[in-house]
Amino acid sequence: MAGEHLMSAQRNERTAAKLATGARPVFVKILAAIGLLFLVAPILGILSRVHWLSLWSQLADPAVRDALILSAWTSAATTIIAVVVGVPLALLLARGHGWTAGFARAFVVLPLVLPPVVSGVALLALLGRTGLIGSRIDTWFGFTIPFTQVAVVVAQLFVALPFLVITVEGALRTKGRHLEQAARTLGASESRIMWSVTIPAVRTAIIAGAALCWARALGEFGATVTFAGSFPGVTQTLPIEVYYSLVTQPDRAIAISVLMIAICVVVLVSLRRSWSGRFLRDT
Amino acid sequence: MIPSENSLSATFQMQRGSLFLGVNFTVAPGKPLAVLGPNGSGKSSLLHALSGLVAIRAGRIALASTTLDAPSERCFVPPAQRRTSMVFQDYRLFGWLTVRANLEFAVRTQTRTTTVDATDIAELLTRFELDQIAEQRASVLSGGQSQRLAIARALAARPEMLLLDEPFSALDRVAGSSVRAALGETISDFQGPVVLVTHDLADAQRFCDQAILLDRGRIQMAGPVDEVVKGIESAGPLERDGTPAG
Repeated sequence: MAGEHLMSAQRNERTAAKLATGARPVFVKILAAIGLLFLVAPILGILSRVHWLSLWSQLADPAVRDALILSAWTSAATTIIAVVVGVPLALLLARGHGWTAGFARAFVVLPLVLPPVVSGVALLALLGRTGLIGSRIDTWFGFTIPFTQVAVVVAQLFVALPFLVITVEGALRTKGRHLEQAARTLGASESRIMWSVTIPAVRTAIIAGAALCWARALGEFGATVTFAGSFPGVTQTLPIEVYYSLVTQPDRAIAISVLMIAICVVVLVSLRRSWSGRFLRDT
Repeated sequence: MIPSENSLSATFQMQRGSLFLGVNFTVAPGKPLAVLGPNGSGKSSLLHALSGLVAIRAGRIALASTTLDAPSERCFVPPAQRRTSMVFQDYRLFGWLTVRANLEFAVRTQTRTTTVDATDIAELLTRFELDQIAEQRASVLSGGQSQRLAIARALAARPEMLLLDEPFSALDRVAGSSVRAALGETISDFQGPVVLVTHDLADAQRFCDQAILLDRGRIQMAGPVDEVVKGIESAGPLERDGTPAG
């Protein structure tokens, strides 16, 4: 009975809430702390190396500005194309049964696990001057895709599209199907169901998927450098600029890195509502 | 029983997962049918077949003189064209739309024949005590409000047949009684066949005239609801909710 008395004597709002939820074992907390530290420390490392006074002048450099503009519009273009073709792909995959859907799904996931440089090689093999399709484009239109800004978008799209498709397909499976059934029994046509029920039901997943896709496109390095090269002012995106300045101008590399971290944090925070609250509550 | 002109007649077999369902029954307007049975006995699959969300494998489903699904006649009417409204256990409201817009959605699917009728919607809102919350988003409604809206929406589609899949099982006692009151009126006013899937014997007796007891996809008992309920209760170790004990 003494223990019972001790507990009630120590009781206050916080301890009671903690005791009610229960606590994880100590070794779990230690390992978790190591995991979290591993993710936080490198960001702190970058911040510790920033020359805050010269940050602006580093970023105002024409080369950095060119890379920023290139990254901004290519990643935006990639995201728009990804939504336009990725949402329909997710709509079909979510309905698909049998081996064709399984096959398609495997190819959607492949770029996620493929080394980006291999993705770049694959794109060269297809669209390069001597490639399967690239050689024909070259003879018919006199245009070669590799090492152009079109190639930057193509490389980004190849590696980033899966993020959108998988996010949207998951939402369609969990939330879309039941609402579609209800709409169907109410007599709605299939096209009306798609526009008025299915897409609104997964709209937060489309936004979340587009954000992931955009972030992946913005950070794309391996496939881009392989397929589009790194011509300053033409195909040199921000991540490529970071990589090449690291040797010659480490301060600039740090400055661009901080800029990219800031952009990503702003996007993540402004989208947080989509992932947490509204995503679960809406339907 | 002689089926009346607008009866639902269903004799069919279907496979769903590991369950093989084979049933044969008729539902006349004004004589609602309760479908009883333990979890996994095929109750929901039966409703899915009637609504057209799943195709049957053999047999025939017909409403009045219209064949809805008959594999041997190569006939299948898709769910959207069956004029069969279904009320689900989990409401399935369009959470991003207002209460009124949920009703408008169902009314507008019938615009092949009628235009959106504001008085229709106003009447439904009043009848289901939704007029105070008509402009709220459906995602913020309570359970009782949600299911009343789901029933109103089902009626807004002007169905010829009404299917109810465990409409009270997600509701607490208070919400359940408000929905039961609303549904009682709906069922007694409804002109077409009604099928109520439930695990609650009292609900079966309250709303229905006849009943079937399903077990592992087969009809174990069929007849007037009071007799079926009596049969279930005297059959031995059954819990009050119609599920076998243990």
